[in-house]
Amino acid sequence: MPGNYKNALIAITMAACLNMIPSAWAGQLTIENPWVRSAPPTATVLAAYMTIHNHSGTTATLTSVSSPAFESVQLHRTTMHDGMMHMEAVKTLAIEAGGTVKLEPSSYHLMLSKPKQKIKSGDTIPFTLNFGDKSETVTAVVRQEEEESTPHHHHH
Amino acid sequence: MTQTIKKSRLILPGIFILLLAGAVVALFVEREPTPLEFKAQMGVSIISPPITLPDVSLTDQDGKPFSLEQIKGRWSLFFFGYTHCPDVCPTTLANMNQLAKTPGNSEMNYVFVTLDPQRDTPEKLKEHVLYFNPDFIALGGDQENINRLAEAVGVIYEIEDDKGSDNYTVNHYAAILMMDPQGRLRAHILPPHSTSKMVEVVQKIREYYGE
Repeated sequence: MPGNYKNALIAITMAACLNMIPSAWAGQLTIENPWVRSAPPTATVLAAYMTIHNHSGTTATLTSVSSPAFESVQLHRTTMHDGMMHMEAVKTLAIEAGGTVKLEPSSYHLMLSKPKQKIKSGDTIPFTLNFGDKSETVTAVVRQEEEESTPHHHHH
Repeated sequence: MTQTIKKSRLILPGIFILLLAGAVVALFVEREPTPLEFKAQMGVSIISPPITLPDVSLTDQDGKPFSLEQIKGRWSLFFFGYTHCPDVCPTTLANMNQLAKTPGNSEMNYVFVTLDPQRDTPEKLKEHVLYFNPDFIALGGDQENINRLAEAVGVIYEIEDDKGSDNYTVNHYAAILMMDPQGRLRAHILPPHSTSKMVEVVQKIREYYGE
């Protein structure tokens, strides 16, 4: 009986997993060029940037981001008004069907607070981007400079 | 005879005084050239006539007193920010480092001034700012002196959230300020500060206003 119970549980779990496959993004979201600006070893805040493409037919809404390397990851936006740069927390970020949103310096970015270990150039940091009940995982490289446009940006 | 001597005695000092007055006037009314113009999309405001920096007491990254006299003799680029700033300040420091690596631009002064001396001690500033480039200058000091300098050069800022929490944000003006070798404010360069834009703007200003 306990064996049957276990098998049933596995079957249910497998069914649940299989069920999820059709609704998963399955390549409908692509995340390009994720990177973290390197900062002094004692920095308590850093920022991560990336480009998110939504190839699906529906809006994808980024609801939260987490990383095992930081105590907190928040979606922020730098805006300029009254001649000043402001930082504002952004609750969700919608990427419309077929659209692209760029997280880049002086605009949308992930504010990374309280690193759990020292972070240096060349390190790779995993991030989980949650889009409601679905998620995407990316690995960002730590570097000082913004990369020049990648070759496929030159096509025109 | 005595009359002529008296006259010449008056004329010579008279001419001398006139020349002196002329020289003094010329010294103070130094001809300010027509302001250099940039296309609107470059986001450059030329300050004409230039603004002399106030005599403030600041502290450098080694905790030593720093006078703004020390920046004279070279062109300087100033940026005001704070080290707990995740996006704009590191981006600007990285941009300034990129510019410093271009031909002819390494000999300028690159100066970061903290608007948040409560958290930014000289040690913290040294570690943070010199991480981007060891030749950069990082200035702090007391809030009063920093405020006087910020106000004189047009850098506005405000502290958001609870200053007691140690987790507050400083919203601030994010232009790079360009000072001439006489230590006077010559230009505000608004973001973005891409290397190509900075190279062009800095070169034009240096050529036009001279060393």
